Amino acid sequence: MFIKIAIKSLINRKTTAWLTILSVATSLFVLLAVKQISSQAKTSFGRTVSGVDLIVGARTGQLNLLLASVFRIGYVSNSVSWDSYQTIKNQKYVKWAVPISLGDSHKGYPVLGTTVQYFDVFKYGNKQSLEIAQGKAFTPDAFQSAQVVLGAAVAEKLGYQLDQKLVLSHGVGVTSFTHHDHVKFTVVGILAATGTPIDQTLHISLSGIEAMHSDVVPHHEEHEEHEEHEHSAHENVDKVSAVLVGVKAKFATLYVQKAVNDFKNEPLMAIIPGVALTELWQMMASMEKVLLLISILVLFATLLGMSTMLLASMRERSREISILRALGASPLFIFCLIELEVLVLTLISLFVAMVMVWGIGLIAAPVLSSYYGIFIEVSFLNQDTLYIGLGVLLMSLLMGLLPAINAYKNALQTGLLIK
Amino acid sequence: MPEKNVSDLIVSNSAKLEEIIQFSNVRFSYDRGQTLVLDIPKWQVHRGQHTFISGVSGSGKSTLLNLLSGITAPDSGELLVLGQRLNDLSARALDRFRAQKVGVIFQQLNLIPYLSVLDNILLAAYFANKTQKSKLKTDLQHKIQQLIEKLNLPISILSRQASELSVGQQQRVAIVRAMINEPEILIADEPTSALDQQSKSAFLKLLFELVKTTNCTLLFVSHDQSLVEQFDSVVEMSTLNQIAEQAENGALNVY
Repeated sequence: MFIKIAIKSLINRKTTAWLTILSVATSLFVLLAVKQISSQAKTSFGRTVSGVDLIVGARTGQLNLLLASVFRIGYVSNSVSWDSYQTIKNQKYVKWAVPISLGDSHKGYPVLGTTVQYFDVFKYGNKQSLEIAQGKAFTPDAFQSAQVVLGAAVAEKLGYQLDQKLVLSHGVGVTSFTHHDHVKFTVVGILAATGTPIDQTLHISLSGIEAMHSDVVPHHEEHEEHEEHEHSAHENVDKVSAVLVGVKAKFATLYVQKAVNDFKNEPLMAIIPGVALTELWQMMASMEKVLLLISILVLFATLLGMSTMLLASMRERSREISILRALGASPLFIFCLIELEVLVLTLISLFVAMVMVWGIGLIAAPVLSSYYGIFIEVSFLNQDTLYIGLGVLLMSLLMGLLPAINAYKNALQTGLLIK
Repeated sequence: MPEKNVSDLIVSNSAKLEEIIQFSNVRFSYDRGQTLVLDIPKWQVHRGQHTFISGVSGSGKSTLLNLLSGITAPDSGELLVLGQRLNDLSARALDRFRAQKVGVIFQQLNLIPYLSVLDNILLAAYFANKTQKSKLKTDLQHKIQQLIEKLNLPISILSRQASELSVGQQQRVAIVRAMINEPEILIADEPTSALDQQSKSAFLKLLFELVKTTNCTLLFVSHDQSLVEQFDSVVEMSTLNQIAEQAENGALNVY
C-alpha cells in the first residue's frame, strides 16, 4: 500500500513528475556519458597496443609519436632513416623491430606501410595476435608490392572483397586531391576485427609505399611470370615514419631507449607506450575532473529542482496528509512517503539516463571509431554506472530530506480538520 | 432464545452508560501554556451516545477533535478515551489507537483523489493492521461489500477513481472507510455541509442506521441547528473556548 500510494501520487502529478524525470535523466546522462566515454577511451587506448616495448621516431613529443604511430591521430613530423632502422634492429637487446610508414589514405582510412613481420609481432588487447580472416598477408618483396591487407572495418564499410583493385591517395584526409592512381593495389587479405584502429587501417608493404610515391609502375604489372625473379624486400625504401620495437627482456627496455635517445647519426627518440599513455591520462585527468565536476554540479542543481518541486507540492497536498493522519498514518510514514517518491523519481531517471547513454553510445561508437580511432563499447550497466547510480540515489534522498521534513512537520501540526 | 435476566439488564445498562470519553481539567495551548485555547473542567461522553457539537469558528472544535483522536496532547489535565489515558501513550501508539478505534469523516474531499474507492477504504484497514493475513483480507472484503450495499452504493464503485465520484457518493464512501475498522468512536466534521437537503437527509439516515447497529459513539460537528433533534446530547462550545455545558436532547445552551 505504501509503494502504491507513492506511485499513484506521482502518476496523479504526471506532467510535473515527467518533467522532473526528464531533467534529472538529462543531467544524469551527462554524468554517465562523461564517465563512460572516458573509461571506454582509456580501455580502447590501452588495448590498442600491447607487446610493443618501444616506439622509435624522429624527435617530437612522446604523445605525438604515440598517437600518430599507434592511434593514427595526427602526423609524424619527421622520419627515421632506413639506416637508423637497421642499426636499431641490430642492437643486441632488440628482439624485433618493425618499421611503419604513414601519410597516405584511402577514402579517409589511413594506410600503413610495414613489413610482413608486423602481422606476427604486433599485439593488441591482452597480447592477442592479429588474425587474417580472409586471404593472406602481403608478400614481402618489391615484385608483389601492390598488395593490400584491409582492416575489418575498412572491408565491411567499403564492401571490399579479396582481389578487389583500389587506388590509394596522398595525405590522410577524407578528401584527397592527389591519387596514386598509377598503382592499383589488390586486396589479398582481410584482418579479423580487433576493436582497435587496426580495423580502420589498410596495410601495404613498404615497397608498396615506395612504388606508390614513384612514377615507376610496379614490377609485377609488367610481368605475369614473376616467379622467375629475385627481389630484395625493401630495395627502394630510405626512410620510415616510426619503428615498433620489441626487446629480448623487459630490463633491456630502458637500455635500448637510452641508446636510441643518444643516437649520434640522427636525432631520434624512443618512447615506452605505457609511459606515454600515462602522460596522456594525466593530461586528460584534469579535463575529465572538470567535466565530472560540471556534470555533478548540473546534477546537484537538478536534484535541488526536484526537491523544490516536491516542496512546492506540499501546500496542495496538505489535505492528503491530513486524511492520511486521520486514518492513523504516523508523521514518519508521511516522511517516508515523500522520500519514496524521490527514490522512485530518481530510479526512473537513472533508468532513462542509462537507456539514453546506451542508445546514443550505439550511434556514437562508429563515429568515434571512424574519426578518432577510439573504440567504445557502451554497456547498459557496469561498475561505474552502479556506483554513480548508488551515489545519485543517496544524493537524491538527502535532497529529498527538505520536502520530507516539511511534510513531517506538516503532519505533526496538521490536525484532522482542513477547511 | 433464552430470556434476558435482571443481571444481564444491569450489565447492559451499565455498558450503555459507560463513559468512554472523560475530560478532567484538560487544558491546551499551541504555545506551551501561554495562550490557552481550550479549558475543559469536566466532560464525559457515554458509549453509543450521539453528540452534536456546535460552535463558532475558533471556538476550539478542531482542537477538541484533535485531542480526542490523539493527534495532539493536552498541556495538563486528564484525558481518558476508551479507558486509555492518552497522555501516557507514545506517538506510535496514538497513531495505532486512532487507526483502530476512531473513524473520521471530513466536511468534503474526504478521499484521496488519485486512489480507487477500494484503495481509499483499504487504506484505513492498512493503518489498523488489518490487511496482513489472508483470513483478515477475506473478512475485510466481505465487510466492504456489506457496507457498500448498506449505503446503497453499487459494488462496481469500488474500482472507480475517487475523483470521479459525486460529492454525495464520496461522503458515503467516507462512511464506509470510517466504519471499516469497526471504530468505537466516529468523528464527523460537518459531513453534510456540501450536500443538498435531499442528500443530507439520506446521508444522515444511513449514518444513524450504521452507528446504531454498531453501537458506535458519534461526535457530530455542525453549524446546522436543524439537525440537533436527532442527537442524544448537544454541546455548544463557548466563545471562551470552554465547554461550559452539555445540553441534553434539544436543550441547547446557546452562548
